[in-house]
Amino acid sequence: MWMWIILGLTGFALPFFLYVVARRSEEETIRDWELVLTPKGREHLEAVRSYTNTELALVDWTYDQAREAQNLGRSQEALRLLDTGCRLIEAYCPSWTRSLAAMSVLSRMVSAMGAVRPLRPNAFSLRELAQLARLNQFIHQFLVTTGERFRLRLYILARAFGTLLRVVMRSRVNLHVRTAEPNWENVEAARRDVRTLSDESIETFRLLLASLQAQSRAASQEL
Amino acid sequence: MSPWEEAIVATEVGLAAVILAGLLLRGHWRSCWSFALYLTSFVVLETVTLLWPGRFFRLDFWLAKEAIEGLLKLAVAFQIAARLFDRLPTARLTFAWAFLTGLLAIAIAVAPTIGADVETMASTALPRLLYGTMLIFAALLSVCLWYHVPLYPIHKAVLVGFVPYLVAFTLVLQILQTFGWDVRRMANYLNTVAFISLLAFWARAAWRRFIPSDVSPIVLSVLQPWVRARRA
Repeated sequence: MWMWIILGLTGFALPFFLYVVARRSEEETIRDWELVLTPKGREHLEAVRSYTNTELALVDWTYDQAREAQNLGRSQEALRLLDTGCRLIEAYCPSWTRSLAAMSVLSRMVSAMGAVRPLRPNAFSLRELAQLARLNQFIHQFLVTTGERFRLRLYILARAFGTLLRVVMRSRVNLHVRTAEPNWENVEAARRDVRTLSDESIETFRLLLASLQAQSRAASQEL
Repeated sequence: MSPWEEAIVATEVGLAAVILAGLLLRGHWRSCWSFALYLTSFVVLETVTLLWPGRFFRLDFWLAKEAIEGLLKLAVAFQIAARLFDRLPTARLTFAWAFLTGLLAIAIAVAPTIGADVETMASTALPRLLYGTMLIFAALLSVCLWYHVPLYPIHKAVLVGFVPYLVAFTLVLQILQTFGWDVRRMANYLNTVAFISLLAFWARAAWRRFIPSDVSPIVLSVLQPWVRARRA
């Protein structure tokens, strides 16, 4: 009887399993490895740094212009610029969320990850993000391997980008409702935190690349 | 052996020979020679059954044939894993645990039937062996998915083919165990359809040319060292 039950359960799970295997592109999988085993990884890291700096410089510029317009009494223009700055952050956050998910997959390839440090709460201005960093510090102590700590860091960063996105979207809704003066402190804090989160994510990517390349070198020497 | 059964066995042997020819001519046998060995054993053992049915078309010979092929299937899983995880220690260790657990589970499941008659072995021990082998193949695919290890096309075809076929074969034997040898014809029909489909799928994969995409030789030397990188 138990064999029939096992076969029934297998019959249920098998189509899903085969679907997942069949839809995976082996060529794309090889390209992911190319990123970490060849100098392309370093090039990609530089490209990410450059993209991040450009995007965040644009956010900073928009914010500074909005502040200036506000000081000059052009509140309509200040609101419009603030709205644009929030939109830029909204467009920017999901790309990091996707990259962090990809890093999580790549991190499974690493047998020995370099030392990982948790996020620092005092590096964040938004209360929600500081709490997430505290959570990171707390759970970090209970994890044994550096791989687990690394994946925790990725998870917290992804959650932090999601939280930041919600905060910015809320701020933008408030701008449109115009029930009160725009919350400049909140937007300023979000602007600072998006930079901190980006720097931490780039550092995470650098650590992943370094660990994978060290492993690859060790494997080459073994042969 | 009825003419219908002879025709089925001849078709299966013919398809297996086509796969072997494809593997040899395209050079895919180098990526997994144990698979070529498995197919060769199938061709030889089925051919002798076809040529001398009076001597070899018997349950004990069929069971011995299945046992040999079962061992060769495990060898295929082992060799594919050895190739894929050669330079990936974390994935290698994870699969080693899964493989040993699978072998242990098979041993525990099959142990009570040791010394039983041939019919009990065929209807009870063999489904457990086949199901355990299927789990090992599924574990190998799962480790590849988890560690993001790219599969070489012929390896993917072997693994993706074996998993559903072994489930179907286990189901056929389970039907025989539950309903007895009266439903042999229906069970045989099910197994024939599944096995011929599997052989046709492998034949297609064996005859395909795999042109390595424009991948860096460093990556190929780590992940698929048996593949020659395309010259620039």
